[in-house]
Amino acid sequence: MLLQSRIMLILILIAMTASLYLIFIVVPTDVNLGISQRIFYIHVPLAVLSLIPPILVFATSMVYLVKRSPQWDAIAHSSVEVGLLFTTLALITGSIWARPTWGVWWTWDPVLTTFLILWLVYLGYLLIRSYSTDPDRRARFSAIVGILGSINALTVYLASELWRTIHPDKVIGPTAQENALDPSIQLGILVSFIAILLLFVYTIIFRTKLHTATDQIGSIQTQLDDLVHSIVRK
Amino acid sequence: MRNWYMIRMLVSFGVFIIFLGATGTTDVVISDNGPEANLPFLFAAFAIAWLGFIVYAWYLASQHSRLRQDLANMQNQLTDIQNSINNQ
Repeated sequence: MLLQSRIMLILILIAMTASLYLIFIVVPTDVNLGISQRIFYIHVPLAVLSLIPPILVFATSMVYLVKRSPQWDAIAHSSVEVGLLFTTLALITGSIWARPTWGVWWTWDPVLTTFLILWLVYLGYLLIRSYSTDPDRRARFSAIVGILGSINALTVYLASELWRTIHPDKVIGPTAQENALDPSIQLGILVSFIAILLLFVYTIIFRTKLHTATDQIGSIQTQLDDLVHSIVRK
Repeated sequence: MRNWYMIRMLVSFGVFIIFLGATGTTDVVISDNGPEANLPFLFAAFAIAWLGFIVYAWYLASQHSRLRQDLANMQNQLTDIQNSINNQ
């Protein structure tokens, strides 16, 4: 394992331990929402980071369509896969929080619905990739789907501005309200966010490297098979 | 094959979410007897999130080991080619 990789894993471990310590020991229990409010410390970073892959996919897919270099397709594919994981976990943790707070597991609120559409876009992207066998065609089609699907991420972020929603206000980003969080909660959210961000970055880098290595090995294997056939013919 | 299995699992999850939406108005008993009343929800949220990360890490590790296996097979194939050339 490379040194950078080890350092990154150690940093993730430290940040995760610190965030768990803050969430379960330091941060006070919310008076209104009770102990289930602590779900926010994992749900908010997961939900916010779910909106990063569409930006990556949009940029890398555009570059791929211009340059046709497989490395950009590898980044886009890895971003979608990690995005799907984060979106799935954000949906589940959000649903678990909603049950004691709103009384239902799920409601067709604009924020939740657009988020579910984002999840379906990620799934559609991966389904399109699994259908196509030709690597160039697969990368081209998925780049187009990736670009079109990324636009939906904007509706997720702006859903609370465009429609009436019961979802709590945004706490991170340009349209978030000032002092949306209590100072005692801010530290917990910040450390938890850093921990999950490190995990997010590490996972995307690792997945991209794996994707590139798989493509390269597949290409070498094809060349090797051709060589074996030419030797047999001789 | 494994990708298909995962995609089918995810599609099932989507159907489950829609089902929850359709049955969202069912009676719910919310316990508000104290600050720790909803502890099982907190436990479930963190357990599922961590389980998700672990399952994905396991999936990546299995892909990595498959790649190593492919490399080993290629190495053997190359050795066979080298031997056959030397014998000729």
